[in-house]
Amino acid sequence: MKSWLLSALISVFASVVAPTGAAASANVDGTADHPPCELPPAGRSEFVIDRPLFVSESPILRFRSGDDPTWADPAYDDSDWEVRRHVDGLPARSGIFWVRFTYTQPRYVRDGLSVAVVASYELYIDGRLVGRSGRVGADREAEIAGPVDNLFQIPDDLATPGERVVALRMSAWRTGFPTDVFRLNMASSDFRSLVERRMRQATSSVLAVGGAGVICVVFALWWFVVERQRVLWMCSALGLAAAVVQLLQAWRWLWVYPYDWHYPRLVAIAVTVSLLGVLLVAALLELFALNRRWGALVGVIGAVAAVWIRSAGWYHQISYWALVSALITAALIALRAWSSKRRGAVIVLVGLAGGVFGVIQGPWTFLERNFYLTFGAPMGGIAVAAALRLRDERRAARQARLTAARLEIELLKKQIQPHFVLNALTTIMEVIEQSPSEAVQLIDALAREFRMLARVSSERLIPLEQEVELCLAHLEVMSRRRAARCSLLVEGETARLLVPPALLLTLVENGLTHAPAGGEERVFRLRVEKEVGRTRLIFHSPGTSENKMDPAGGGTGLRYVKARLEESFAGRWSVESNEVEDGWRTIVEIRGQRPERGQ
Amino acid sequence: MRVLIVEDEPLIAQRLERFCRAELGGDLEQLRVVASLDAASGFLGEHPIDLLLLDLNLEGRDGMQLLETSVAGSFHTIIVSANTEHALRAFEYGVLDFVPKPFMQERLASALRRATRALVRAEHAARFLAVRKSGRVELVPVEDVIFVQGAGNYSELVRRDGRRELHDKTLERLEAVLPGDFERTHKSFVVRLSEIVSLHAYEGGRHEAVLRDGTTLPVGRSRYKGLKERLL
Repeated sequence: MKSWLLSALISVFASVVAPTGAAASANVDGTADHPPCELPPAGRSEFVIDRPLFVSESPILRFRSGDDPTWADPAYDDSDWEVRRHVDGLPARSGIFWVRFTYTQPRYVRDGLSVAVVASYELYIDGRLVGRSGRVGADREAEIAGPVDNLFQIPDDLATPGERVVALRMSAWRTGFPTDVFRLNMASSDFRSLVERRMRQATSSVLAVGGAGVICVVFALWWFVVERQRVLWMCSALGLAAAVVQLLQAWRWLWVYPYDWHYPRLVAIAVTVSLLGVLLVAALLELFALNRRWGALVGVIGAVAAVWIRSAGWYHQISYWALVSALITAALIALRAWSSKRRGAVIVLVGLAGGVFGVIQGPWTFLERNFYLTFGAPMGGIAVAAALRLRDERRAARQARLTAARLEIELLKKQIQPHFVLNALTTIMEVIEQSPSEAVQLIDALAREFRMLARVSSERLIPLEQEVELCLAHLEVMSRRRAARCSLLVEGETARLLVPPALLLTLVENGLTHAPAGGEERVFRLRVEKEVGRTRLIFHSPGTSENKMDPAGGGTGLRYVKARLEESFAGRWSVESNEVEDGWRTIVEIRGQRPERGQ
Repeated sequence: MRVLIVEDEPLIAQRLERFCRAELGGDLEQLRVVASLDAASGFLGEHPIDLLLLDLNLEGRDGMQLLETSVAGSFHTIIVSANTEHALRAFEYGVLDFVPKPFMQERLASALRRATRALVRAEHAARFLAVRKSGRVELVPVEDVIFVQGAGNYSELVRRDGRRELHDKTLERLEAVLPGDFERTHKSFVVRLSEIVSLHAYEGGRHEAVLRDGTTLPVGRSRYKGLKERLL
């Protein structure tokens, strides 16, 4: 294989593996959220601290506790100083100490030095004070914390090619990290490109804040204005958490803070990322409405807690593993949702795959430029799935409204349908010719029934007493038309019982239609049985077995009854209809105390 | 004339009965009122009738089946119903008339006249003829029938493919529900005019019509002239 190809492959491999290696070693201290993208562009970098793959290029650090101004002198012999590799870190909360190293200034312009360290320090190059960060102090009170990130411009005469000796006089009294060592990150390049890089670093976070903020606001508005659904505010909270994480990220680049703020900021990021992970799982559980939701939620909270305990103090690692465990849990949930054929499960899976890839590909950048993948992809998947679910629900709701409208029309049609009216009119014609005074009574009874019907037809539920009244009015009309006495006897407590309109009327009608014609008296009976949590309406219609009513489940009348019960007591009702010795018995059972709320 | 009324509302039944008596007068040999179809079929099994006044809810399959059974009978059927939206359908199945409720005496009288007078056709011709076959009823499309031959109390429908179907109605009653294209050509034949390709007059006053499929049918002497005029 050609050597250039080989080296290209190696460099690609290295670029993928490098951050992983860094993750393993860098978390020994707390400043480790500092990614390799801090480094100068390839080809320019010649002295780099804190990049394990290029250890050979990293200068050897000489370390000594104590304080002596002569230690800044390049000619000073530091050969007896302790050698520290960058991974060893530097002591915290233990007074003033010095670090020295040598590097070669190349021929081309490299007049910038970026230093990131959780300490106050003075920077000397070849014995000259080039810059300082805060004030180095022999004790906590004397020290003033400087910013974590500093860019220094190297004076022109020191930027000429040649060997340079760098000396740092440092103290780190105020570091909040629980560990007692921290690391030094330095990179040199030309000053302008260092400024640019720092700006770019901020830009990605600032854009992410904007994007996540929009998600937060849009979903919050949706929840507040359009639809009070839990999954909507959960999506909004996810957006908020992401915006907070990115705001905390951007804080480092946009508002320079003293280094003692670095630790609380990292804790805040780890906490927010952990919350984000738990919220992601909770949102998915809510979205897919799966069983045993609490189990999965407790599982992910447990996993995140374990991460916090295991990686205590290593904040980048906490964020990393918290997010990884949340994404894996989320993917398992999405897989289960997929196997249960939940709407949008596939798109959520795709989003989560993007998120997992983002984390694995960029263990150092998953909260920075890879954040668009690690958070954006799963969030996008969830948003689409949530939108799909809401669309389905709205369709169902519209369907339910149409059903309600249809039921109302059906009720009216039952009584005001041409068949009923025209037959009644025919009877009236005949009664007028036979006995005008009876005709007036029939018309009056008919009018009473229609008036009552008009009153209840647009209601979803009416008091049982009103329903009984309606039946009595109907029975009076039918008695006159059929020339047979029809009556309804009610037993039991009817007060405060709500039923769909024409529930009983439908049963009475069925009974009349299927009862034998003839002059004998017909008595319908209704018994109301109330128990705790359930109400039973037992309706008996007289007849003989030769005149069978539609069996349970069949017939338009029973269909109407069932549709109406489902509309008002979704899933909490049953209708049983069967033949008994002296007629037909229908039992309507309603469970639960309260009817469903209206649409 | 023997009439059966099927009506479950006593007052309406009384009204039908009253009007029947007024209209048919002395021609009424027998009048029976029943309240249900079950009772009607029981009665029909024992007693032949000429006319059925039927209140039929034509909604659903049951209604149509009952109608088919009814029109397959030897008697004429008049529907008296509030379900006017099914009137045309009822006619297609060969009912003689459809009286919408509520009705006045005059409307029922005109329906009864169709049943009593010869050569008064139904307002809308049948599109199917219901034929009783070993316990079930089969519908024969009228357009498939080329002529009908009377056979005493029955008729034979002759179809284009030569098949013959026995119908319970007399030739006169069938003629009343057939489309205007069908003409009585002989005391035993009702023929679809568009099927006749030629008419022949022979010595001795014998007349014949030749149909498209080659069948030769006798033509009544008195009907020959009128038939010829209609065909020219």
